[in-house]
Amino acid sequence: MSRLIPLAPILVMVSDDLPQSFWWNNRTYQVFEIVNHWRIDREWWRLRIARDYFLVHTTSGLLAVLFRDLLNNEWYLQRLYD
Amino acid sequence: MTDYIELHCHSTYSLLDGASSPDDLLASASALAMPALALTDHDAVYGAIPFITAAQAYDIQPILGAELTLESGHHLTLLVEDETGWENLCTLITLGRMNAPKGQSCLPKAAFEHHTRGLIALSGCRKGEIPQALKRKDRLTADYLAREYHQLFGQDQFYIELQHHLLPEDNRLTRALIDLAAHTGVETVVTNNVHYTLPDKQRLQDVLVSIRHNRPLDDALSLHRPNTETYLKSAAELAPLFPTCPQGLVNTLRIAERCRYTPAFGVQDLPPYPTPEAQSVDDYLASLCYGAVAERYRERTDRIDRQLAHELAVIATCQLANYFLIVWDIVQYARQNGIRSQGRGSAANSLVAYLLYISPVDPIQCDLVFERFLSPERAATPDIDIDFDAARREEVIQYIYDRYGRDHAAMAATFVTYRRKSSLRDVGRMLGLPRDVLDTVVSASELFDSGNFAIQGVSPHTLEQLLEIAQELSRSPRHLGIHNGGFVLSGKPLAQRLPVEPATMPGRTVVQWDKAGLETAGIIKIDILGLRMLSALSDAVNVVYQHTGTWIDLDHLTYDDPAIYDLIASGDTVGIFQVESRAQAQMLPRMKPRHLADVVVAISLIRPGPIQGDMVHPYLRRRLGQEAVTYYHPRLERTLKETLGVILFQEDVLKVARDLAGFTPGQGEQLRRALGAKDAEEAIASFNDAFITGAMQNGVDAETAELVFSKLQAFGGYSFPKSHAASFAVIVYQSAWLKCYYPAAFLAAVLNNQPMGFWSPAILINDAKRHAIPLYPIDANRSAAACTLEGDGIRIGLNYVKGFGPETCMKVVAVRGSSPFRGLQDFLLRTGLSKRLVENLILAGGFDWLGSPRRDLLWELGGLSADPNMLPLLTSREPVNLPPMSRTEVLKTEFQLTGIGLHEHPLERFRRLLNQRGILDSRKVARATKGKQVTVAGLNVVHQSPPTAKGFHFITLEDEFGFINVIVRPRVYAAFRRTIRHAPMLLVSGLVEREGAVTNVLAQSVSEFMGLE
Repeated sequence: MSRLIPLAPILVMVSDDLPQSFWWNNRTYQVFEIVNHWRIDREWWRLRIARDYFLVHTTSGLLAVLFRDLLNNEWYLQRLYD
Repeated sequence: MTDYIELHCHSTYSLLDGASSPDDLLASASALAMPALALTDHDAVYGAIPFITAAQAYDIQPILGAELTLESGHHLTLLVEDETGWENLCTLITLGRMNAPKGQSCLPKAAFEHHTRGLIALSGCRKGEIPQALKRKDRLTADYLAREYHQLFGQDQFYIELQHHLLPEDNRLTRALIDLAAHTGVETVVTNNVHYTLPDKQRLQDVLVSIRHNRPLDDALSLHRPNTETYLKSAAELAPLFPTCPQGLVNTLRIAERCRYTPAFGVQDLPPYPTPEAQSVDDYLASLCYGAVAERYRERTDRIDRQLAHELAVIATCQLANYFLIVWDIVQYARQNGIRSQGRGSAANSLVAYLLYISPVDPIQCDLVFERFLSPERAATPDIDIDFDAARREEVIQYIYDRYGRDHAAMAATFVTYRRKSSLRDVGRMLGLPRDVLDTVVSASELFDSGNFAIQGVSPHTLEQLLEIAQELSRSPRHLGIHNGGFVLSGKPLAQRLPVEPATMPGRTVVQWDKAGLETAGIIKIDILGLRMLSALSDAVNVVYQHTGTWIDLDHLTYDDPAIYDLIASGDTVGIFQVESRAQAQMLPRMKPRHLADVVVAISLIRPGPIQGDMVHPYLRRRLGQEAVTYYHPRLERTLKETLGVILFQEDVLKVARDLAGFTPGQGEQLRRALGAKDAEEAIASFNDAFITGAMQNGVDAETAELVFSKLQAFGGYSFPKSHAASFAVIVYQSAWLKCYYPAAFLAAVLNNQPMGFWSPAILINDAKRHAIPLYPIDANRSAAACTLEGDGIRIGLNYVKGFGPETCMKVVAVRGSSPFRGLQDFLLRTGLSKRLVENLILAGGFDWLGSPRRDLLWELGGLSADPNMLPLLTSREPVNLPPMSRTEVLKTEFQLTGIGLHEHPLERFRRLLNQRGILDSRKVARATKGKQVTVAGLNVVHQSPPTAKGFHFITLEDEFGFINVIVRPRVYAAFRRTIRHAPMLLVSGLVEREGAVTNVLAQSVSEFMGLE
């Protein structure tokens, strides 16, 4: 099961620009492994979207899609997999 | 030293895909301290020459290659290791290109069979065959393909290419590729499939892709790259992406070390001319030349023998006899088939070229210097440019293809590049701007430099993006075109030297380099150019022969007929090659040419160089003895004696630089090019210093040296080499000769070869009326497809009716045969032309022989049916009383539909009233006293404001008697700009100015002439 999370900035601890843990729904999730990392940067002529995406495994067994908005440097949780 | 070299890199020569020029890519590579860089454009080596030359400047090793598109649509990257590899790459590109429509490529895999040696193959981007198999998780096929390519290219000649652009599937794909390499024993190599120098160039790349697919940005999201990662990256940026495969980066250095080949410049490889009886080419050329002396000269003199022996010796030393024979062969073909031709440019300096009929100019008589064409000291091989009858040039082109084979002959390419307006238009279109807004943007583009501007309907953000991207796009190549006539020939298959691809025009092929590339590479090009005046001369000669039985041998005119020089000197030169313009017609009566050498000077004087250099009036005054001939310095007397102390011909720049400042011919040539180039201030400044220093070492004072350099700088614009002017002067004389002795035939020929020359057909026709040449109107039963001679006059051809192209005209003439049309219905049924075309013919006067007013004929046409099986439309047979068209309506519609007016001149109708009001005609103005206040009226036929005229405008008015020259000062022009630009007829008041036989009206006021009541 996966679910889309309403977009709101979250707090993420990073090291070398890579997420180490994130705070969401009143609890901390430790990143166990970065499974994938990709970047999008497009549609500059209208509303530019520039994001660094991370698919991470948490120590609690969740799979989460996080992204850092490269335009405002905020982090967001986009999707969770149980 | 870097630990990575980019081996997969697209430049702007990956047309509408790569977003950075080779130069910019090399600059970025240099900034990253990359010692080498590969250029791998799509199915092309278009950019190889600029890449190689720019790489030298950056001290970077250029690696040549290409990314090929296979028949399956997959990509494969190839890099050139040695000469064999270059030959194979060119061959493979050619095979792919020739197997697809223009602009595309489709290489069958079987083509690799014998063409892999000397090439290193990389498995390609994500569109490669192997990555595609792995993307669909078909490991078995990927394994097979890796082994297949490995076997095809050989041990150490094939690499699995690893790319990582931070896309979601890149980690998995890279891992799979690395596993595959390990499993199959193939080495890996990292590349970045570079499409631009820096991430912010992705905007331009998106726009290019959109243009290529003709889909605005909003509709092309699926075609765009998801991010900006295909820029030129450093080892530090790439290494973290391939943590398990550092060898992939190291291998880039190993491959680069092996790919050190670039083609040698200046290697000539023309097809061997098949000489008879296995004579050497030198001997055969000599025998042809000596054999032609008796044809070309009445008497063989020592001077001819000495010059010929000298030229033949130089040609032999330079190993160019074969080249001359090839050119001679082409000219021979043209002569044998009645196709007029003649060489232009520096070839006219050569006696050999004259004897072989390549050039019409006798260099001995014209005092031309062979060394300006060819000398053993000069490394470059001279191009020979030949003009052919434009209407028959294609025959010559196809002859060359047939003679040497399509494998050995192709035409030079041109790169159609973006300019300011075209880039604004294309970028704006892709940004989704509506056409009318784009029109506004483009028309206002000149204001953009000023900074503050806004365009209604475009947000400031979009406008900013538009201007920035259009600026980046400007000067990039957009698509490949075909050079006007440059032919490249080779002994071994051309496709081994440089790739060949199909042109848009059927039956034509082009090489992948343009004129500049071929010149830099030192590859001989023969220019097969089309000149419409040569077609007109041919037509006139044929017409005269058909009507009189007299065959005119234009090639054997003796250039000494006083009547011809009288005609040229009178300025009555409408229709004559090169001397018919307003400026020439004003200058010739002052100059009064009496010899061909004078004509050579005349056509060289009215050029941007001499005009900007303020050489024209001093020359004329000196020629007329009105001022003494002086020289800027005594050292220049020898050089400029012939031109009375002024700098006139292109080569004068070289000679002045040599005699005053000690420049070598090579330095002089560089100076001449710099003077004529845009944005060459730095180069000119350095030449200025060298010139002043050199001149002072020769004892010339600094002030004089500065003065002469400033004259050279002013002269900087375009000018003729003397030899070129001499070639053109021959055509001036020939066309003047025909106008003088066979004016009707000449005019018919000129009318049939439009567009050409300075004047429109309407002015040519008015000139004919003034010379009392009878003109017969268009007639459905009498007109041929083109204008023809009828008695002493000219019958206007059907080709002058709007909408009547060659096929329509031929059809009318063919169905008419020997049975004239009996009426409109008969015409309609037999020709099957559309009613719209028949309407045009009626209004052009083509059915006036029926005796009915044109409006009645239009009415009748409306009731007719073009289908013989259909009954006529049910219209009343009762006669209708349509009001006839007024005389003005008749003349106006006739002019609109033919572009000419055969009847009275529009001014004629008002002449009596004009006379009553003291408004002068052109004859009276010519006799009016200097300084007199006059008013004149005429058709506004020419309006010029050359950049050399410092804001002055020149108008030519035409009335039924001739032309009136009007000079408009900048202040007066500003006051009457709109009227001058738009009014078809003008009334001008001003003062009479006269210089010699030339009269001008210096305008004080201008108004539109609407007629008089």
